[in-house]
Amino acid sequence: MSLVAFREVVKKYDTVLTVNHLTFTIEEGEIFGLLGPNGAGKSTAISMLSGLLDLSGGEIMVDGYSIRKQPLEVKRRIGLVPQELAIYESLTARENVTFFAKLYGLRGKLLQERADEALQFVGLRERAKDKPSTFSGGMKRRLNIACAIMHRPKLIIMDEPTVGIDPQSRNHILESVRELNRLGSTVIYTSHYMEEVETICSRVGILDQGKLIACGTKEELKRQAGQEEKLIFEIDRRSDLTMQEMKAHPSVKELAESDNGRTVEVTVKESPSILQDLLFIMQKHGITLRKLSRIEPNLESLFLQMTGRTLRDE
Amino acid sequence: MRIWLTTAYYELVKYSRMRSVLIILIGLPLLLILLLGSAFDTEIKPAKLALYVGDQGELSASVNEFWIDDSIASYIKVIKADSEREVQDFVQEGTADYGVYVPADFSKRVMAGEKAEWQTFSGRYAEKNIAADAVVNSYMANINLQLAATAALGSGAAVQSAGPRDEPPLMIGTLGNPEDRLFGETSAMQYYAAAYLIMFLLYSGMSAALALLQQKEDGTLQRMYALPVSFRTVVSGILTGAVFLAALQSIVIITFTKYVYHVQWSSQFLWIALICLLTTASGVGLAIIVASIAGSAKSTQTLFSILVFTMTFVSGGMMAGIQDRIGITGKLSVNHWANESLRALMSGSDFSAVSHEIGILAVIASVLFMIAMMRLPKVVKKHA
Repeated sequence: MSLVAFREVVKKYDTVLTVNHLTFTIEEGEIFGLLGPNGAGKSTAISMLSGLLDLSGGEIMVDGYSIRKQPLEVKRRIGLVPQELAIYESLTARENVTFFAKLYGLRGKLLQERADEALQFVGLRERAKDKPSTFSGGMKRRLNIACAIMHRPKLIIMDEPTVGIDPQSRNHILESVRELNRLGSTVIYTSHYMEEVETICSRVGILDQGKLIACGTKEELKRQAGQEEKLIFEIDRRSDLTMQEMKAHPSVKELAESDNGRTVEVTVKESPSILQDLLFIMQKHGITLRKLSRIEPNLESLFLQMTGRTLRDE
Repeated sequence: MRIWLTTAYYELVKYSRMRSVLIILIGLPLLLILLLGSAFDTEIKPAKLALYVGDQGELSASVNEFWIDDSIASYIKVIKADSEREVQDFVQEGTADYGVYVPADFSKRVMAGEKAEWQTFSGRYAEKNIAADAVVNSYMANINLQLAATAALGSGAAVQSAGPRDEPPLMIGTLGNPEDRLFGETSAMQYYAAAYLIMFLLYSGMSAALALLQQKEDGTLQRMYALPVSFRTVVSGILTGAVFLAALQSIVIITFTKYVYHVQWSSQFLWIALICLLTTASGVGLAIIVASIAGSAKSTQTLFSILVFTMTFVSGGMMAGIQDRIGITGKLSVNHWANESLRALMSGSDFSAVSHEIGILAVIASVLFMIAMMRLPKVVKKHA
């Protein structure tokens, strides 16, 4: 059984469909990335999953419980890291964590242990007695995470957790996500930064205008879109015969020359032996290879290909 | 219950760390009560009188009894000195407002029918000197009467009747018709203590609406929605936090003004507590209604402040007597009914005399609170 299942989920504001018959599942133990530009419906989908918004249609199941019929059971299994820094500036870091932990029903020794554990996990144990007003943006983001994980939820939802922070804190957060996953939590991760999603997510769903336009592993998505990779060769001299033979290879889709023929850009279809074949042709004609670059397709280019827009389009 | 208490407790912790809020809600009313209460206070405070009774004769007991008599306690507060010199020092230093030295041969001279006098030392304040002189003169007039009696009837008569008299030695009043008194049956200090307690309790009510709006703007309220608890319980906890703040504010203001400004609040603290609670409930209700219309924390603060300021003004909280000039308008404010109830209790009325005012206040609080509960979803709606 999937941990999370969206079934024909619809969210309608008056006549506008912000989420349009969304159907997908997330398996236990996954880090599931939800990608999409602003207004794609990511936050709406997450808000419905967390119980912040009512569904206009369809059903969301979490660990076998319906968000419509058993919202409290669903909420017990979820830890939400909202996009906003939902922490209290006038409480210390420890008080912030214990406040939310108490609302999750933790008490006594267990409460203290879990609060320590959560602060330790995000690297704020030493600053537990300080107020967030003395923290950097990255530290506040980490505290925001600590407030969502101290009850050890099965499912952690992270809505753009790295917005506006320095690279060091971003790495810390990404590493935390992996660690939480290793410790057994399933993670739903939304971001504008597709490189983050590519790096940490085992599966990705791409939303556009409220619809799921693609879903699967990174490799599956590339295959699904028939994506091609590019090989760029920098060689010592140009040779007509070499170019003709390379063009004739069945896996070469396109070949372009620049820098007086000393840079050759080859667009290739997926083939396990293509690089080997092209290097053999060059060697046969006495061409010396100076540099080889490989440009793999990414989610940004995939999104561009599928929608004609970039992920950061407003 | 636990969730409600936890939320309310943490709200109170948050308020306690906002210095500006505490200064405005507790420090400012205390300052305003002091400034306005003192400025308009026409009551003469008891004069501090340094006393040394050097006389050990037959009249010394009655002299000592005279100074501790209840009838002069409202006008004179006696400070015992150990010598005539010390009496003078106390007056010079300002420790005492007036000094009295009863000479060692006072009884002897009185009993002998000779001229006997107390030595007095006037201090810096004319009105205190007048009060103390009046008290001393009242005693000396009585003594003179006794001297005359001694001359006519013999020495025994003087000793028997030189003690304290039943009637007060002096009366302090206000000029003009007592019906025209600006502050009614209360003193200026009592009048403004009630007015500013009520005004700032209403402001405490605003804290509840501001906390909800602020938490919505910050996203913490959204986080609460994702918790496995009843959202109503969480919201009522946040509102209760503001009520706790108002309770704390009432206790501090009433205790401080009672012991430092000597405001007579009446001993009917249960009714005072009820008036404070109803005022706070009205404030919370009104603030939520304003917040549901204004939308943001900033606009709510501005609109609500104008509203409370206006209600305080029309109810005479800033200018005593204005309510008589503007007629029924003052009665349309929450402040009017709360102030009237408090002032009636302060001037010694029992509950039956203030039940009408408290009843109307309760009706206002209930109506405002009910409308507020209907408008509450607009304030805490999940997505702004």
